Amino acid sequence: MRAPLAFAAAVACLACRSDFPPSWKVTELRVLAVTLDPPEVAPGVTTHVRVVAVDPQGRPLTTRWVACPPTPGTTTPNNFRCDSALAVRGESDAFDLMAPMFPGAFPVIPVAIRVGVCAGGAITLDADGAAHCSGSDYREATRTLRISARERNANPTVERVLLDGALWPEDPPPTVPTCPANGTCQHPIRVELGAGAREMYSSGGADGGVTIPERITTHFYTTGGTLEGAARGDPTEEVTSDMQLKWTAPATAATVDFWFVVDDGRGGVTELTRRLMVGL
Amino acid sequence: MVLAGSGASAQTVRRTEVAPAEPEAGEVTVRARRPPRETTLITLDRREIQRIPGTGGDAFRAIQNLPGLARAPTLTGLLIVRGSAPQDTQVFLDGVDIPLLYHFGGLTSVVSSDLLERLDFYPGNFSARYGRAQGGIIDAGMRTPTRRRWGGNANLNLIDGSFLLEGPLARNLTLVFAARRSWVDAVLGAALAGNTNVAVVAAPVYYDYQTILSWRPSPRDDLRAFFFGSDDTLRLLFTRQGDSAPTGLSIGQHFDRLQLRWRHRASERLSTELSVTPGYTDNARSSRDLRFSTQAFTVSSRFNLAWQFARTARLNAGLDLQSGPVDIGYQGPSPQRTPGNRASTIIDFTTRIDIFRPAVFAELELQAAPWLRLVPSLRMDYFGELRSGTISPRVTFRAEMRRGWFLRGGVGVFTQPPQFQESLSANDVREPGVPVGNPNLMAQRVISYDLGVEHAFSPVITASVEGFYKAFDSQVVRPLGTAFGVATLPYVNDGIGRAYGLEVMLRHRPTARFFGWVSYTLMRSERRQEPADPWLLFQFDQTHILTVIGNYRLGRGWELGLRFRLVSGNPYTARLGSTFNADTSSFVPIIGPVNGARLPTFHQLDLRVDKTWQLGRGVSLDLYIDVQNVYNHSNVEGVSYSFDSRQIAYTNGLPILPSLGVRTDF
Repeated sequence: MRAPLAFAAAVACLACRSDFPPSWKVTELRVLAVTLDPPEVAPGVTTHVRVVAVDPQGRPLTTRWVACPPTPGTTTPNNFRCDSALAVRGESDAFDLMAPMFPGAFPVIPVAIRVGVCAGGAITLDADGAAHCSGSDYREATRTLRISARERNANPTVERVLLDGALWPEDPPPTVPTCPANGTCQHPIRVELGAGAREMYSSGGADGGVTIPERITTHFYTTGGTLEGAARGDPTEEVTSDMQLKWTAPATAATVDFWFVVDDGRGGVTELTRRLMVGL
Repeated sequence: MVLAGSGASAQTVRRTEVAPAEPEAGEVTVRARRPPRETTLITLDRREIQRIPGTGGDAFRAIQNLPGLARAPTLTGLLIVRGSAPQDTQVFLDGVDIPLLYHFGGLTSVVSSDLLERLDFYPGNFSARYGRAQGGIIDAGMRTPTRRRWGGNANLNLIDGSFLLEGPLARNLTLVFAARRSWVDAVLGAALAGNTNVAVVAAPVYYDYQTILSWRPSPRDDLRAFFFGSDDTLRLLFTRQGDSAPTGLSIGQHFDRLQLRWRHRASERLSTELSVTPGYTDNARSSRDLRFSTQAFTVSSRFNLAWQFARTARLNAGLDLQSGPVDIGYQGPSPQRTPGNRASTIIDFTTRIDIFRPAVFAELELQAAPWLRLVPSLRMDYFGELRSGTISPRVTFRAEMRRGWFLRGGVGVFTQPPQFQESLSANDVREPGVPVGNPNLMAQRVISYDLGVEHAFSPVITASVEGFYKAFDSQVVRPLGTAFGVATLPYVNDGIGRAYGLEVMLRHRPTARFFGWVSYTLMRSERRQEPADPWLLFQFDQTHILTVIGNYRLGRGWELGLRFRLVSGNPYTARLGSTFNADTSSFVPIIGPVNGARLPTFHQLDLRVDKTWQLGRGVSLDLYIDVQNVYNHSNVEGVSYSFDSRQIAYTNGLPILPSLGVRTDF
């Protein structure tokens, strides 16, 4: 058996480095989350959709969305009919969406929600349904609404967010000092889940599957300073209640925004925002 | 270029020949004994091999400058022959297949070039003696140790050191021992000791050894034991406190072989050769996302017979058997994942395969007319793991159309078993019931055609032009577009392909002052996932491959050599952007056409300067500096993308790289 080529690349890349910005640093237009409340509904029931997009340059954002049902008769969940008459469209970053009715018995049917966000302009659709942004920046995101006749999922609940071990309120934002270059002034940030946030669910399968706990992950984003990582999860699959990262303040005074996106690995997503005044 | 005389058949072979400096009187050379087959014979002499810039005097690296071989990405050591995949080319040492040709992807080869008698490179239409390969063949012949006196050489450079000792032990009993060991770990360790700014240092550590014990009990018999092996390890020298090793990378690759060979010349017309080679191979590699290991105890056995049964006809026939157990463990991405297919990308298995691959072959060399030689041949292989076999007919010809002008060509069938993991019946441990491979796979097949012409303009200036076409079928691929994106069969034989091109070589053989050549290949290699799919570029397709080499003796022991290469960039699959998947807070790349983009053109100039002193009778000292990438061009070897695929960065190859060395022969 010859060695996979990946090894050669890995050896050659021992000395490689990239100057790409880390995924946790919000430096340009980003869609950080699309939340559904609730994330899984019965046919005919309404869910509330919210698009969390941010532009550090402060340009006005325009959002267009389309909810696409799956192609009838297909077993491939990624095959959606966004050009069909059943597709629902809108222009808002927060809206209510009613789950369509599907004939016949089914366990779970996915509906794809496709979102386009344009900074500093409007979104138009061409004859083929392709989106065009008249502004300078455009991002797309997808989200899946699960329509279920039986078991339902809920969004993970967050009890509180701690900064340096103390409660981090939404308002007023706390203040921390600036951190000189090469300084060691790390601030632990902890996201604590609420009781029952980690639900048990059936893994599925022909024999009904086994009941297992959700794997919850928190994704951290910020506009300033340095985070030691982009996400914290629960690799052991044990039931733990918090996820922590260390953040280093910038060297200059600034207002720094944070976003915490908590997902349960099966469609449940909760998003929180916090702000810090650094050296102000 | 030397054109083989009588006894040559019609395959194409590019030979890097390192004939012993002191042929012994009365000794029948190995070259004369083995069945001559080649029509195109490029004989690189010792001076050429040792002086080509950028090769470090390594014969195996020297052949990379010949037509038919594409440029391998830096530090990969891949052998990409006429548009075939790297795993389609086999490497042999005196008929024994070896799992590794270069230490750490091309730093240096695993065999001392000073031990080679010949180095044959068959880019296509090779002899029926060789099989289980649909690309090319590299076969190195080891020389007999000298019987005259004890002597040898030593070679030191910044990367490794090596030595060779040889001489007579008794009448008709000779021994040679050669070994090499890298010392990058020692150099780096000493240089960086106490440097707290360096987080992690890992160094390639390798060694190899070769021992040949040769005994000639009679003029008709030649007995030889050839014991050789190699070891590559990536050694972590140290890590700064608090830092972890990069991606948990570890590499260990080791093999040992013991070849026992008996050559017997029954008469002037009949000779035989029997060899048995037990061997051990141990590979263990891991990174953050990959774990791969093999341990193999295999025996390779060969029997060759050469019978000149008529004045114009000669039969070469034989048996070829590979057998033994191979233990394989793998956890990681599927090795043949198709670009753009993200389904079922992780496999995990541990299993044992009992290899049993017998083969028989026969080749008839017919001098049909004084100017025409025909070589029909047949090879039959059986692959135990597939429970099936193949029949491979081949025919080649060589004709002297007019004095000094030769026309040659051939057509043949070449088969190769799938890689082990592709035909495994073992199950994925993560998903019991899901097979890792497809045990019903067939051997892959190539039908190869080539036609060429050669001409000698003078005793030192020669030229050749050769066209080739290869049709691939029954190629192993991963199926696409099955239910829920998961393949019901992990591998199928649906792939086809084609490779075609033209190879040109203009050469000035070594004279007192100068040697050099210009080699140019124009080619295209394409694949189809299924016969109805569109053609896609092969991942190592290189449209233009130009190599220019020149060496000039300036006098007073000074010598200057240059090598320039200009090669099309490899294709790659570009990302056109990404969509944020808000279900998982991850970015899904938007994949462009498969292999629809191409890396920038590669070009590089290498330079070598030698100064030699003759210190006495048979003793010389050579001090050299070999500079790769003289003008420090940033050659692109790959691309990487930011987390959202919106930014692209190039991965560059080696910067300017000077290497200083000293060699003494005694």
